[in-house]
Amino acid sequence: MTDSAVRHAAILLIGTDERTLRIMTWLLLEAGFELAKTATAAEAVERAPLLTPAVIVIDGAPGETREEARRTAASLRAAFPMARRVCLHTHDGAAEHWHAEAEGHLHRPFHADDLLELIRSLLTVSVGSKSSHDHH
Amino acid sequence: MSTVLVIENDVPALRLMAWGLMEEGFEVGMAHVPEALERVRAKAPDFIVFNTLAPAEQKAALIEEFRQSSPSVRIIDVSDSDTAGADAHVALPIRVDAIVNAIKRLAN
Repeated sequence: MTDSAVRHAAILLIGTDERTLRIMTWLLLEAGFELAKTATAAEAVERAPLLTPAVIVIDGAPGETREEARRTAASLRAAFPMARRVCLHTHDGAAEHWHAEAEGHLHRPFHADDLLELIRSLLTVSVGSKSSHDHH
Repeated sequence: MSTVLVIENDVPALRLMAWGLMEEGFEVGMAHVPEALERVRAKAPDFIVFNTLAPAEQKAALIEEFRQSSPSVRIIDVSDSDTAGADAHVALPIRVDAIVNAIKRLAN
């Protein structure tokens, strides 16, 4: 991706925690990214023809099983094959199941710079290279 | 998909419009006026929602520059008076539903 494409790439936020969504929204919009958001992965998949995310940030749902996380990740991969996935974790939550399903991980509480650095690092990794990024 | 770039210098107003348009399902970006033209050149949106207190002549000139950079972009002016060159005009105070309706009308 060119510098300009990285700076203005589209990010899809998936989650229902209004406070977290607002924080991420303002951080990412102020940083120059384009944003869309859906409440669930199923809604994102349904709207896939209308969305063009380079990165998907999904808030790992409490109580989600490993199999549910795997299925959700598979549906996102199928709907958005070019997008990289970031999972937002709560340390003691079941969202840990997402560890194997996302290229990037962000743990609550996170610093603004962690979020931006993680997104940018995923956008600048060359397509096809295997990577894993973890921010605490 | 409709991408909407919201251009506004007042941060609370910018956030109100950006958040409201995201809630309506748009892919949204935002820019302050000084960086807006560079942003449109870098990645042309489908729609620009434009609200600034600049004099009408300055607004019209900026709209003209947007069009030169991206001829297909549709421009919605949010202000108290019609601005030359805009595709649609939405009166103040800012109402997200009115902006969404203007975008939908232009999209159709």
